Amino acid sequence: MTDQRQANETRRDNEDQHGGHQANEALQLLHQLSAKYQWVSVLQHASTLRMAEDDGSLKLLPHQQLHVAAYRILALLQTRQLERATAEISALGTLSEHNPKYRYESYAKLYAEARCGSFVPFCLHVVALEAAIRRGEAGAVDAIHAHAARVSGVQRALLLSCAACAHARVGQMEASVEVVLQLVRENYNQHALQTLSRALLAVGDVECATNVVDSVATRDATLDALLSAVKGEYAEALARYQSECGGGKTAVSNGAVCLLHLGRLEEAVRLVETAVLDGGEDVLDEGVLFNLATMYELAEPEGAAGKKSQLANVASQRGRQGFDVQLLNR
Amino acid sequence: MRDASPARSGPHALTFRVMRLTVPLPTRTNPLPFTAVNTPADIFENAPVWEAEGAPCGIGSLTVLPSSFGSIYAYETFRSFVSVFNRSQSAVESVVVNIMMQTASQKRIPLFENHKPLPLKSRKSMNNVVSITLSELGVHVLVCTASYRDNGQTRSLRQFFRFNVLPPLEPTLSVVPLYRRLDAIPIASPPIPSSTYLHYLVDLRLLNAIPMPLYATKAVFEPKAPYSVRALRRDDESRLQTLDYMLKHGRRAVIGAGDITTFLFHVYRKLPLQLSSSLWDGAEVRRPQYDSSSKNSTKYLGKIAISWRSAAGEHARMEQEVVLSNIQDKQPEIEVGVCAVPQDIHVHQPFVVRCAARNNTDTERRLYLQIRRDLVGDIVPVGVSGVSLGDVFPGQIARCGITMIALVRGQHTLSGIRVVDIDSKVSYKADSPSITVL
Repeated sequence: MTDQRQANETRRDNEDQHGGHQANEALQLLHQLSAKYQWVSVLQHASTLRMAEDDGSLKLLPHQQLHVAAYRILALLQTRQLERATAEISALGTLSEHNPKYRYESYAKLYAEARCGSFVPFCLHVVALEAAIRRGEAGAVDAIHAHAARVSGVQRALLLSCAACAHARVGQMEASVEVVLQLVRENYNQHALQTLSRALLAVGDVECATNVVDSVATRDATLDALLSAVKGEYAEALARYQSECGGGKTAVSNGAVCLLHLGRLEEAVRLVETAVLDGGEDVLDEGVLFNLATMYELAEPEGAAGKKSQLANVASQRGRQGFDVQLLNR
Repeated sequence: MRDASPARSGPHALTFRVMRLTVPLPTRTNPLPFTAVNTPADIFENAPVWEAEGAPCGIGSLTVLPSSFGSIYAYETFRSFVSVFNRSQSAVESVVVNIMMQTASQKRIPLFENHKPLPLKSRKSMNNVVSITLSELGVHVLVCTASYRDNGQTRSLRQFFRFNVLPPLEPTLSVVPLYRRLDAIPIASPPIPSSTYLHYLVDLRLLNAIPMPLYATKAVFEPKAPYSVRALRRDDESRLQTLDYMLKHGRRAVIGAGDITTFLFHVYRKLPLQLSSSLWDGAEVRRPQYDSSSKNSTKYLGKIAISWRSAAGEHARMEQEVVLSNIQDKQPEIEVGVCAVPQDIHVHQPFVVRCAARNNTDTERRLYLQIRRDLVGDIVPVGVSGVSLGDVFPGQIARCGITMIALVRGQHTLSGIRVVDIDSKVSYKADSPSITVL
C-alpha cells in the first residue's frame, strides 16, 4: 500500500471515529426541532448530545460542536433565558475568524479533506449579536451594522432585520424605519414592501404607509384592514377582517380590537375566546391571549383572575414550547 | 385600566372600568429566529406562524391593547372605553350613566348620558366609547356617574379618573412688514402714487414638544379679507411621503423630538385708490384709500390651521390666529430719505433734491417736510424751506422736491432735512448724503 493511500485511510478512520453518520443525524434532528420552534426539545436534545460526547458514545467534529452550541444558544434566547445564553456565548470566547480555536487548520488531522478558514457558523454570530442587543450592551447595534457590511444576500437581509429591531428596542424608531428602507432597496419585492408598510404604521406614519401600500401591485387584505383601523374606520376594518383575511389569528384578534373600538365588548370577548378554546395551536400567540386577558379585565373585573388562570392553563397545555405564560399576568 | 374606589356607605353594586383606546398600530416583537444553521430562510416569506417567535424586522400584524393610559397630548382626540359592571348577585334597575369631561379650566363637557333608565343584570356590563378633542393643557378629570336602584334603594356612584394633558407643539409666530428701501423706488415725473400694497412675512415656527417624532405636519394659512396669502415653503410635503422619494432620499417629512420646523407665508393686501389732490400743483392723482373706521379689523390677518400626526398614530389639529400686534417693527415710524439729486451740481445754480417719506405705522399721519436752515451748512433751500406732504396713509410713500443752491464748491453733505408729524410734533431725520459741488 502506498504512503498516500495509507494516509487517506488513516484520515477516513479518524472521521469515522469522530461521529460521521451519527453526528449528522443528531444535527439533523436539532435542525428539525428548531424549524418547528420546539425550543425546549432543542435544549433537551442538545444536552443529550453533550452528555453523549462526555461519555464518549458520540464524537462531534469541532464545527459540529459549534453548530450544536448555536442551536442551544438560539433556544435559550427564544425561551427568554438571556443570562444562560450570555454565559454560554462568553464560554465560547471570541468568535473572530482569526481565533485558531475555530479554524479548520487547527484540526487538520480530524478532517478527511483539507479544509481551511473559520468554521464559526453565521447564525452563531447572529445569536451572539442579538444577545448583546437584548442585554442593552453599548455598541451592539453598531456591531450588527458592521457585520452586515461584511456579508451579502440573505445573510445581510437577516442582519438588517435584526438591526431594524435593535434600533426600535432602544427607541430609535426613525433609524429602525431607515434600516427597513435599506432592506427594501436591496430586496425590492412585494413582501419587503409590505414589511415597510407595517414598519411605517408601527411608528404612526399613516400617510407614508398608505402610499407604500398603494405602490404594491398585489393587495394584502390584512394590511388593508390594518390601515382602515389605524385611520379610525373600525367598521370597515372589521368587515375586511371577517371577510377577506381568512379567519386566522390576526383577523380574529385585530377584529376583536375593532369591536372594542365600536363598543361591542362582549362580542369581542366571544370572538377571541372561541378561537382560543376551539382553534389550533397557531392561534395561541402571546398577543392574542394578552388581548383576551385585557378584555376579561374590562368585561368581568371580578372574575378576570380566574379567567386568566384558565388561559394560562390552555397555553401551557396546547401552546407551543417557549410560550411566555407570564405575559398574561402583566 | 382604572378601577372604582369603594363607596362611602356600603359597597356599590356597580363599578366603573375605564380603558383608554389608542390607535391600533402593529405591535413590535423579536427579529426572525433562525430555522436552519448556515442556510437562513427567506426572511420575508418564511416567517414563523407565531409573531411572538419573531417577524421580519420585528414588526408583526397583530395589534395589542394598551396596558396603561400613556401620555395624552392636547389637540388629539382622547378616546376611552367606559364600562359599568354589575358585580352584585342580583340585577339592578333604572341605571342612568353620565360621563363628562372636566377640563383644566373647570369647564364641564358632557360626553354621554343614557336618558332612558335601563336595568342591568348580574355580572353584566353597559359599555360606551366616548371621545373628545382636548384643547386645554393641564389636569383633566373624566367624571363617571351612575345612578341606579338596588333592592328598592336609589344609589349614586361617582368615579373620577384624572390625567394630565401635555402640550404637543410650541408655536412661535412673528409678523414682519416687508418694505423696499426708499432710495430703491424709481422717481418718475410727474410723481406717481406710492405702493398700493401692504406686504407682510408671517413666520411660524413649531417646536415638537412630544418625546417622539411627528409626521404629515401641515400649516395652511386661511386669510381674512381683504388679505391674500402665498405659501413660501419650498418642500411639497406630499412629495416627500411617496415611496420613490423615500427610496431615493430617505425620510424627510419627519420632525424629531425637540426639532423645529418653519412655515413662511407672504400675506398682502391691496389698498383701494381714491381721487385726491396731488402734492404737485393741484393735479389730480389717485391716492390709496384708508378707511380709518375699520383700521382695527384690518389688524387681523387670518388664522393658520396646523395639523400633524404623532408617532402614536394620533391625528391632531390646532389653530393659530395672526394679528398685526405681533409685528416686529424695526423700522422707524416715519422713514425719511433723499431719493435723488442731479449728477452735476454747480455752485450758485439751483438744483432740485427729490425726497420721500414713508409711513411705517398703522395710522394715518399728517406730515410736513422741513429744511432746518440752522443745520443746512453751505447747501441752502431756495424760497420755501418746507412742503406739506398732506395725509399719509399707513404704508404710503409721499414724495416731493425741494429746490436748493450750493454756496461753495467742494464736497458737502445735504443735512437739515426733516419730516415732522404735525399732530405729535415728532421730527424724523433723513440721512445726509454727500454731494460734490462743481
